[in-house]
Amino acid sequence: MPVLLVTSDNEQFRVEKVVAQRSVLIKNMLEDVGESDQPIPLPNVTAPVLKKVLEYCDHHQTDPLPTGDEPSADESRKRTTDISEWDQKFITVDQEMLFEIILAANYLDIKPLLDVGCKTVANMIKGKSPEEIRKLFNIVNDFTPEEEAQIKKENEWAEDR
Amino acid sequence: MSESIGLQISEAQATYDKIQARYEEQLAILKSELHAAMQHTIMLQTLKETVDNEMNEIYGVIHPIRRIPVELLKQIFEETLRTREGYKMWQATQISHVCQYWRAVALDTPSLWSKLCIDFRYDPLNLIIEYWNWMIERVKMTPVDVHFYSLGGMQQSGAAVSEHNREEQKKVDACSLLRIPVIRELNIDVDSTYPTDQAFSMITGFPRNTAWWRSVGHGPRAAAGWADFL
Repeated sequence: MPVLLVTSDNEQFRVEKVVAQRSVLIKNMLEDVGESDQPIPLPNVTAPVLKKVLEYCDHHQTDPLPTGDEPSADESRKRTTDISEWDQKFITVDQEMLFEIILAANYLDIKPLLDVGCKTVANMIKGKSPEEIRKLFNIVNDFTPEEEAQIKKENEWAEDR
Repeated sequence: MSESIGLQISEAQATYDKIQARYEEQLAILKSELHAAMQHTIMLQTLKETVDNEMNEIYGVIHPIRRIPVELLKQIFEETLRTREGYKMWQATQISHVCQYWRAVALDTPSLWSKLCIDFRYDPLNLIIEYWNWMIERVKMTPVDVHFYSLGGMQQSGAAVSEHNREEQKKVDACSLLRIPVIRELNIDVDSTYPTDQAFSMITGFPRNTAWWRSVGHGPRAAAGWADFL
């Protein structure tokens, strides 16, 4: 039975239940309301982002669902550093969309997607100097001269550690 | 005849001098214009950089990374540490040096600082004291791996042994293991120039319930069970 999802910008998406239930939030909502054709409002997600998220859910619809009550399984999923080829291609989007996907995955409670997003941002940061990271995300260096002095000291320590 | 040739040469010289003076005048004008143009280029480049920076600052305010909640930013920071072993401390430090907000979040993420490394051969006492204090503040209750490299330091030939031992003891005392709530693993590498038993005897106050390891001689890979040593 299909499920009707309504985004913050009032777009409607009709999706298969098995796809929608990749989101723990939607799964719990469906369990709470029972069999119903009532639309499910998603006030924190816009249509372009939901479209992208549903593309992920559709591709991963047969993956085993994370149970949520097994912290060790959660940890082992996080520890897997590699992003699959499909996921890598899927997450190759501009920064705006990347962070929107992360926020949506967090809100909709889709942990594997959240991990893919966080790992992608982490990979963008890895190996970069603070100045390069600032440029990457338009962050302003707002350290005081005292903090700069402390940072300089810490840098001496960080070499090769 | 020779007078006539001499006259022709001096006339030609005079003509040449006039032409040269005209060209030099033109050249000086061109040089001056070129200099002015270069100055103008530099001025425009500086102005462009200023405008770019201002635009970036304004864009930075609305950049989507600012909307990421703290717990997700922490998760991203932790993910960056899944890197080559020797670069974890470096990576965490780079993140904490980006801006005040990232620093506050990074310093409040104990798992970023869960590897404490001291190199007794090269690290001076005053920096060891400072470093140990920073790290104890940061690790909070998270389990940490402690790495002591070249315990005992390098004994210089001809130097007073007792003086060296006193200095090394001060360094070891500065790294109080009892200040660390949970030690996951302790890796000790004794400097090849230092007697192993003497190096270990400098460490006092061992906390219990730790997966202890020691490594004898130079090179941390030569590890043996700590219990055997005790």
